[in-house]
Amino acid sequence: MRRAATIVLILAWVILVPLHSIAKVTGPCVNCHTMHNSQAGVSVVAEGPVPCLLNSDCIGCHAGINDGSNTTPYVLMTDSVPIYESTGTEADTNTLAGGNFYWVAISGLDRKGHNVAGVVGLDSTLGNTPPGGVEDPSPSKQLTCAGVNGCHGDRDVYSPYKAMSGAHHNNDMTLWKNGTTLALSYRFLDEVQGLEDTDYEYRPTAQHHNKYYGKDRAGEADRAEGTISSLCGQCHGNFHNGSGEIASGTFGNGVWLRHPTDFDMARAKSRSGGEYAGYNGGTGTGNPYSVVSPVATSDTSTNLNTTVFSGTDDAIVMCLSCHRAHGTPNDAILRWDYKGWPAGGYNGCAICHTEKD
Amino acid sequence: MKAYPAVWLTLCLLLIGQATWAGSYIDSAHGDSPDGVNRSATTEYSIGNCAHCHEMHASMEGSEPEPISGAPAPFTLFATNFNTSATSGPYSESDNFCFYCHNNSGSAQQVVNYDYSRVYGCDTFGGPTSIFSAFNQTSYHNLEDIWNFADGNVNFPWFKEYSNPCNACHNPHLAKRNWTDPDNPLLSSISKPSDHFSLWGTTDLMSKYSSYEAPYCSGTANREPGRTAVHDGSKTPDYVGFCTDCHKTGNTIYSTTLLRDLEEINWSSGGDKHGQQSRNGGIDIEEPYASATNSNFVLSCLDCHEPHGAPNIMLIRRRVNGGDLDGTVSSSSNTLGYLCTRCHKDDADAGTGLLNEWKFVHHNSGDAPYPGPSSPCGDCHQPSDCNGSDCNPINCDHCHFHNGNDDWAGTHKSGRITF
Repeated sequence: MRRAATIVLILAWVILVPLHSIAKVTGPCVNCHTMHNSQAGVSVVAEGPVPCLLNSDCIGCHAGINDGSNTTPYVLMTDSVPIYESTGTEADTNTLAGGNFYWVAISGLDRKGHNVAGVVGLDSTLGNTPPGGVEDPSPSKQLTCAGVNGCHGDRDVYSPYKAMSGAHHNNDMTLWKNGTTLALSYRFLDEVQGLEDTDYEYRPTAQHHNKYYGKDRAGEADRAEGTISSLCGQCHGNFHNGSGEIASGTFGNGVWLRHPTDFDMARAKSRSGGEYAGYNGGTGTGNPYSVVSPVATSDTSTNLNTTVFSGTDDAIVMCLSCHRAHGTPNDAILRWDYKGWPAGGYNGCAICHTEKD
Repeated sequence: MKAYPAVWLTLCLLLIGQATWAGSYIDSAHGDSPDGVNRSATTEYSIGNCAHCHEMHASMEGSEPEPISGAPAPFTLFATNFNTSATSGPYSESDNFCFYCHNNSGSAQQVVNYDYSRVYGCDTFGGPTSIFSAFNQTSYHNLEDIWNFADGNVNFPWFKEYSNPCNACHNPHLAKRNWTDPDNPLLSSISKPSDHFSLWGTTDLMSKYSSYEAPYCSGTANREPGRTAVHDGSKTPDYVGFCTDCHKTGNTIYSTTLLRDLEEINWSSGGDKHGQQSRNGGIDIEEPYASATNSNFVLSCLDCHEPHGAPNIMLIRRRVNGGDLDGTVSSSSNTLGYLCTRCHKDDADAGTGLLNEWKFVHHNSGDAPYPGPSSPCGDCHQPSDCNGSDCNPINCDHCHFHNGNDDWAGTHKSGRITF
């Protein structure tokens, strides 16, 4: 009996440990690191050593073409135009949840992506000042991938590399990222919660997508820490929270001054002729989840939210309901071509605003 | 070859299906792709796009496009929806969000709109050329009075503190461009305040009142609203049902302009004779009513009134029943008679006297309420207005107004309902 139990335990260990390590950096150290920035007498990084003994900067590793099998998410294509179609979710697309920096970096179109240092130069219109910004970051420095002026990593650490310390080596995409550590933060966005799709939303469906964490706020001053929208609000503050910035009257019961985020659309189901109850073609109960205009949820389990209006606070509007984080072919990094609608373009707004089509 | 009918049938079904699927906003005047909203500062957005009215974050590329910047506005509009300090006209553009475009010199867009008398009453020129200028006339649908009545009204729960009074009658996401085809009620621009999320008048038509007779439009050749031969009201939205959503018995509506509560309209069989109340006696009527097979006519509110504003008091149209009024209706003298004579016989029509004199109707016709005339004349007329055999007319509105009777005539009163 003891022998059998030991075998079972060993088998369980063998089976469970690899699962537990999905997306954790694996393979030889040399894949990412260089001890002396020198290989056969030639500099590995021509511009000089990169912190943390890395053999490349962020974009050096994260540039490429997604094919669904890559474990490193590619956020920049350089040699060809990404296939985005109308919404970046169609069956032949090759962009991920954050979109792609191609349009801002390679096409040079400032409005179609975040102007991240190392990827593209300053935004010619905005400079270093984020729209809606009221506090961080320092307007004297350009947006970076990580760190104080970045989105990923520890936002109290200036060096983008040091800010990411420990993240890649401790990642586990099967867990609910509860934001307690950087590795336990959604997509290494410090303190942000969520469940990560293992292929980063490569051709997502309602059964296969990221699960975003949101909060149904009671007041506009609530920063809703831990939500994906709260992270956006750290730079685009007025667009997410602030007294007198989002709602007139009681938050959620008055009228909006700016488009709400971190607000549960279920609270509006009976308003505007009941149009929100029709989210993504549903009837107001168990509506199908939309990967075109996704919503967040307050549920922190690892059960994927494949429907909406099925539980408490599971239809939370967020910044990513309309925007992507890295870049798209559309202005304002929108998920779809809003500006071209209704003459052409795509009306993703109608996923929620079902009567406005 | 036999496959062709099936192919055509499939194509038809698909196309019909597409038409059915087409949503409400892009079918509206504002959402129309070639002719909809198109703010001059946001022309990079497609015509009809939401951004011409709404700024989702009160910011576009880090600043607010013209015409208004500053703090974000309710409903994410680019400007304040309504200035509740504008208690009376004349209005300025910034008093009402709609005036930034529905204004022939609007700073966001310039939209030409003519009044009811011109679009549906077949006038070919004249009158206001925008909604803004329509409101800035002698009489107007006081916007703050509308706002006061609608805000907090349990029947209009969708109406908020920051709502626009224009929205009491119009849903900007549904309203269609009806002036392009005036006799097509499917192109409705109105929504009842108690049913804001539906268009009114597409199937609710004046023809529901069996005795509606459409007035003349272009002279005597055709009828309102689209200068066609149709006269049974099947081309006219049921404006009675629409207006009485507010203006009905039991609804107290204060008028800042008149400094009193408005008359409560009772258009039912127990109310006014211009409504469904049975007439009692002759009415000395003119065409097309005189020869109509109907009788006991029920009028549409817009047969006499403009919805937005008018050069006459009480929103009275400048053109009625196929012709212009012969004078401006004011609160003095008997100028209201210029309206009455568009359908009723004054002494000139009767061949007994002059324009806008009413001795025939009141004293000499077969069913005159005060035959004779009664004496002494001075009971009703000012003695100084009389020369021994004739008197100048008295003001019509002593007796003729909504809910009116002739109690004013004292001992001479007929007891008839006089409106």
